[in-house]
Amino acid sequence: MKAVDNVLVIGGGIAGIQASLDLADRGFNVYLVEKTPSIGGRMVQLDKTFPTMDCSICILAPKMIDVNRRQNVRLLTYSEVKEVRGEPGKFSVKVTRKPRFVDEEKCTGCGDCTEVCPVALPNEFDMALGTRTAIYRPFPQAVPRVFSIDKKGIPSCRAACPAGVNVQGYIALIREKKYKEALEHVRNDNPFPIICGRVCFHPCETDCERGSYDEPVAINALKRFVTDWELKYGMEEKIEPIPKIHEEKIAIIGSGPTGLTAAHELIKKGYPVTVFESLPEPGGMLRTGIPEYRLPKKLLEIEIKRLKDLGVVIQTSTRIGLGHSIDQLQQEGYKAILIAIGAQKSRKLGIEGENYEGVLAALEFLKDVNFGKRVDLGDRIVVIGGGNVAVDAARTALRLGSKDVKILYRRSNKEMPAFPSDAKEAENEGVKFQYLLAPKKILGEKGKVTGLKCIRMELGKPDKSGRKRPLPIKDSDFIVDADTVIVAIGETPDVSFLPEVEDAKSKTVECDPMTLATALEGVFAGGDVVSGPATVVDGIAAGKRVAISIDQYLRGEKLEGEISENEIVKEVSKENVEKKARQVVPVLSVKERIESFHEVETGFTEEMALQEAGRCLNCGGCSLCLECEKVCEPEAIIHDQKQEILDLDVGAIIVSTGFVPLDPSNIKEYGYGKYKNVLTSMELERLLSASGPTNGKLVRPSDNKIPHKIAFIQCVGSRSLKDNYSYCSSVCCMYATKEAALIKEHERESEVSIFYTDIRAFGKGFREFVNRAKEEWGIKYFRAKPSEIREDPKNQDLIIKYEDTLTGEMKSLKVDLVVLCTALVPPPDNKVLAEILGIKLDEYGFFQVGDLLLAPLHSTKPGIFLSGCCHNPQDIPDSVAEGKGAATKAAEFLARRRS
Amino acid sequence: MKFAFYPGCTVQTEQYAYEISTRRIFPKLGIQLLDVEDFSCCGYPLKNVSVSAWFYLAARNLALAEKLGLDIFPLCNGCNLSFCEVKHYLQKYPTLKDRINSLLSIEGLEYTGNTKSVHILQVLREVIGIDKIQAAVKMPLEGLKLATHYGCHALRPSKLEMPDDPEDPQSLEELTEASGATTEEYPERLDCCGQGLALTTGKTALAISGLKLRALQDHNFDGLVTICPSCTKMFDAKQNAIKVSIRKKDLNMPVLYITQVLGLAMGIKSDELALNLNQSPISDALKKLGKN
Repeated sequence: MKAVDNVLVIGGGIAGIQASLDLADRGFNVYLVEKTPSIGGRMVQLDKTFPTMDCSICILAPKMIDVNRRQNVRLLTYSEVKEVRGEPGKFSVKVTRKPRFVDEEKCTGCGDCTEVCPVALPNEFDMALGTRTAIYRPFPQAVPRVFSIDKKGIPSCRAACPAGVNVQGYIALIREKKYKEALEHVRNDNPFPIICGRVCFHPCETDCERGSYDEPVAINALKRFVTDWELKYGMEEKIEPIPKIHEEKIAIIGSGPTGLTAAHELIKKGYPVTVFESLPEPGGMLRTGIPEYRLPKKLLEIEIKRLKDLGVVIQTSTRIGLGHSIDQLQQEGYKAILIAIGAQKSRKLGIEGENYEGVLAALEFLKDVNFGKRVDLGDRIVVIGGGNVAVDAARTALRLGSKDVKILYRRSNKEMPAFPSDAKEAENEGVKFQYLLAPKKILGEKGKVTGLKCIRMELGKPDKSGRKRPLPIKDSDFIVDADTVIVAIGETPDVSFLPEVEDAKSKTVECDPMTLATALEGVFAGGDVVSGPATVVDGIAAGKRVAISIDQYLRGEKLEGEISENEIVKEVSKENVEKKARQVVPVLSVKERIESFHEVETGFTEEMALQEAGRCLNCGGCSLCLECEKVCEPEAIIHDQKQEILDLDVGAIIVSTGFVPLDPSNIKEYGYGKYKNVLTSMELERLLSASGPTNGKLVRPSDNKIPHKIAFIQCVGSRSLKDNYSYCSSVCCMYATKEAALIKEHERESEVSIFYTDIRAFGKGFREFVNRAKEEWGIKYFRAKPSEIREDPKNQDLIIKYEDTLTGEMKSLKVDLVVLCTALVPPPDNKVLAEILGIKLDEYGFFQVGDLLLAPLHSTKPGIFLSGCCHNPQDIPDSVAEGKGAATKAAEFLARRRS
Repeated sequence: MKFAFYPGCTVQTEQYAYEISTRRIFPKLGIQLLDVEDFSCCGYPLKNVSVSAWFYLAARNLALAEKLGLDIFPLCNGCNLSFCEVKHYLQKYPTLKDRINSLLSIEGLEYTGNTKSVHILQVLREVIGIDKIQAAVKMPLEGLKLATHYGCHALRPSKLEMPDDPEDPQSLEELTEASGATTEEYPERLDCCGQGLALTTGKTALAISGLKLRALQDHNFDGLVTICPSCTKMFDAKQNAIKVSIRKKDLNMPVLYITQVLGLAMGIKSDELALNLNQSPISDALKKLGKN
C-alpha cells in the first residue's frame, strides 16, 4: 500500500465515521484513530436527536458497525497520534496504542469480567453521575465490543511498602468478602502476613491518599483481619512442598525475617534451601526481640511451619562461624551463601558502673523473657533509650510485675524514634517518660545497681541524623533510684567471624549495593546485617531483593530496574467521596493488658473490616486482584500488555476530534458544583437515557425524587462578553427544546421553562419543532438571562432570579432542577494535536480553517482537512455533511497524486 | 507588623465598638496600629459630586501612609474600596497621577503608588493567619451558629483585587469558624444591607436590611458577623426601626463585629470589646455562651 492510497482520520465521532465510510466507498484505505476505547463520540451520549426525536444510538450504531466491518478501514481505538513527519501526500505518522490489557482478538465482549471486578470508578460516559468497574466497556453498543482495563499507575500504598505488596488488590478482595484470595495476594509478595498484620509500622498508611482527605485507610488492621479469618476458618488446607527444579544448594545463615523470606523466595524458584540458626528456635528478632503481647509465639510458629511445609529446611542450634565456617559450607556443596544474621550486638553506654548486677542489655532481657526464662527485676526499672526496643522492654517489665517503670531519653519526645502509637500505649499502661536527660554514672552497692546519676540535656543544632544534638546542662546532676537498669540505645551487627566482609567502621557487612554480593565469591548478605537495625518489613524486602540477586547469580542473568517515580499515581479525585472516619481497632483495657502477655489489640470484626475496606479510593484504578482472569473463558486478559507503536504512511489526514461540553464551575453565580440540583445539559441527557446511571428515570441528585419544575438556562459560557467564549454554540437552543420535550415525555405534568437570549432555530424543521414545544407540549419560554441562582437550604430547591426582558419585570422562579446549557468548547488536547500536525488554532482553541468561504474544510496546511465540531460548533446533520465534504477534499487531494 | 490605621468617619462618629474591639485584639495578634493625625476623608462620599476631589482626598491619605513607609489599614469597606479604586486609576493613567501629585506637592506630599490598602479580612487571614488566631482562642464559642455579612464594597468590583471572591467568598467563614462558632451557607448571604439608599429612600433601605434580618431569623442563626461599620449601622443601630418598618415585633438578631467575636473567643471581657455599645440584642447570644 502506498501512502497516497491511505488516509488518516483522527477522531471517531459521527464526522470521522462518515468521512471514513465515504473514503472507503471511494476505494481508499482508512485508519480511523480514536482516543477512547470506542468510536461514537458525543452522539452516543445523547438520548434523542433534534428535530426528529430519533433515538441517537439507533441511527449511529449501524454506521459504527459498518465502518468496523469495512475491509479497507482499520479501526485503531484507544490510540493517539503522537508524531507526524513528512509532507502533504506522504505523511509518516506514529500512533501509540494504549494497552487495554485485554486481547482484542480474543475478547467476545461477554461481560463476565465486569461482574467480578471489585473496583468502582467514576463513569466518564455518564459524566461521572454513576460508576463503572475498572474493567469496562464505555457503553453497551461499543465498537469494538471489547473491554478495557483502566490502570492509572502504582498506588502510593504499594509504592510505599518496602515489600511491594499489592495493597489495593487485597483490600478490594476483602470488600468482596473474598478473604482467602486476599491473603493469597499478600503472600505473593510477603510470606509473613500474620506477623506483619500485627507488628508492621505500615508506611503504606502514611502515604495513603485517603489520609490527605480525611484519615488513612487502616491497611495494617485489614491485613490482620484476613489472617485472623484464616486462623479461624481456613487452616485445613494442606500445604504441599514445592518441587525442586534446580540442583544448586543454597545456605542461609540466620532465620530472621530476611533469611526466611529469602528462603521462601528461593524455594519458590525451585532451589534446595537450608537455613542455619544459632539459637534453639528459629525466627530471629521475631522471636527474641518482639514481646509476646505484640506477636504471640504461637502465631510465629504457624508462619514458620508453613515455610517448612513448603520445603525450607531449618537447622537450629547450629552456629556458623568459628567451627562450622563458610569454607566448610562451600565444601559441603552450597553454591550460594546468604549472611542474614541481623544486628544483635547491643551498644554499651560506656559509663562507669555498667558491669553492676542489675544492668541489662535490652535485647538480652527481651530474649530471656521470650525464651521463658525467669527474670527478677525488682520494682524500680529505668530503661535508657527512645526506640521501639526501649518501649518494648518497658512494657515487658510492667507485665512482669514491676510497679515503677521509667524511660529516660536524651532528646525530647518529638525526636523519639519509637512508633508513636506504641509509645502512647506504653504511657496508657503506666510507663513514665522522662525527656532530655542522660545517665552519667551507674551507682551501685556491693556490686548491685542502686541508681543512676543523670544530667539534664538541652537541644542544640541538628547533627548528622538531622535531629537536634543533645547537649548537657552544666551542674544539673541529679539521682534516679533503680533496681534494674535496661540499656536500649541501639544494636549493631557482629560479623567478627568473617572479617573479610566486615566494614570496620559501621560494623555492617560490606557488599555491592545493587547485587548485595560481598567480596567473597558466592557469598551474599542482606537485612539488618547490611543496613543496621531496621523494621520487619524492611527485612522482608531485603530478603526478596537478595533472593533475586542469588537466583540471577546462579543462572547467570542480568539485574532488572526498580519502579520509576513517574509510574506512581499522583492525582486522585475525591469528587463525590463523603468524609468518613477510620474504624478504630479495639484494644484490651489497661488492667487486662499489664496483668498478662495477651495481645493488646483484638482486631477488627467482619463488619468493621468491610466498612474500612470500603474507604479505599482505588487510586490505581484496576486493583490487580486478578478476579477477571479467573472468569474470562476466552483467556483474553493480559495484565502485562505493553503499549504498541504503529508507523503509518498516509497521503492525507482528516481531523474530526469534536468538542467537550464546558464545565460551568467557574460561572459561580449559577452554583454548579455547589448546589446539587444544578446540572449540565449533558448530565441531563445521561439521566434521560435508558442506558444511563438511573436507567432513564429522571430523578434529581439531592434526594432522588422526581423533579416537577425544571428550568433550562441558555448561553451558559457562550456569547459571553467578559470571559469564557464569545461565540454562539449553535445547538443549545435546539437541544434545550429537545431535552424539555423529553422531560415532558417522561413526566406529563411537569412544568418546564427555558430562559433564552435568542431562539436560534435556523435549520430545516427547527422552527416547527420549537413551535410544537410551545403550543403542544406547553414548554414555557422566557426571554431572560438569569442573574443568579440560589438554593433553599431546607430542600435544595433552586430559586432563579431574572429580569423578564419582554415585560421588564424583576422576578424569581422556584424550581426543583436547573439545567445549564453549556457551551461547546475545544478539547484541551487540540493544542497538542495542532503542534503535532503543524496546523493553526483560532483564538478559542478550535482548529483554524483555511478560509470561511473558499476553503471551509481545509486546515492551515495542505493535505490536512477538518470536519465537524473540531473547528466550529455545529449539529449532527452539519457534521455528517462536513465528514462527507472532507472525505471528498482528501480524495481530490490524493487523486492527483495517485496516478 | 505595623499599619497606618485609618478608622474612617463612621467608626469615629458612631460605630465606636469596631475601633475599640479592633484596638483591643490586634496587639495580642501581633499587629501594631499607628495613628496618623493628618488623615482626612477617604473621598468616597464625593464620588458623585466631584471625581477630582475624590481622587485627591484618597490619594492624599495614601501619600501620608507612604511617607511613613506603611500600608494603610482602613476599618471600613467603603474607604478600602475608595483607596483601591483610586490606586487602580492612578496607576492606569499617569497624567492623572501627575495632576494629583501637583496638588499634593502643595503640602509636600507625593503619591508614588508604593502603598497599598489592606482590608481587615486580609489583615486577619493573610497577615496574621488562621493558625495564629486559633492559637489565641482560649474560650471557643461552641454552640453559636453565626451568619456572615461581607458587605458589597468588600467584594466588588471584581475587576479590582478585592479581599475575597465576589461570588463565593469564604474568608469571613474561616475567621468566624476559627473562633469556635459554626457558620452556614444561606441564600441571602451576599445580599446588600441597603445602606446606600439610606439618604434618599430611607424606608427602602430599612426594608432591604429587614428582609435579610428576617431571613436570618428564619434560618435559626444565633447572630450576624459583620466587617463594615455602615452595614452594621443598618443591622445593629437601626434594628429597632427595622422592626417597625417590616412589622416584625419579634425580630431579635444579635449583630457583632468580627473583632468582637474573635475577642470573646480569645477570652477578653465583653466590656473591653465595647459589647455594651451594640444596640442589637447581643445578650441573647452571650447567654447562649453562658456568659454575662
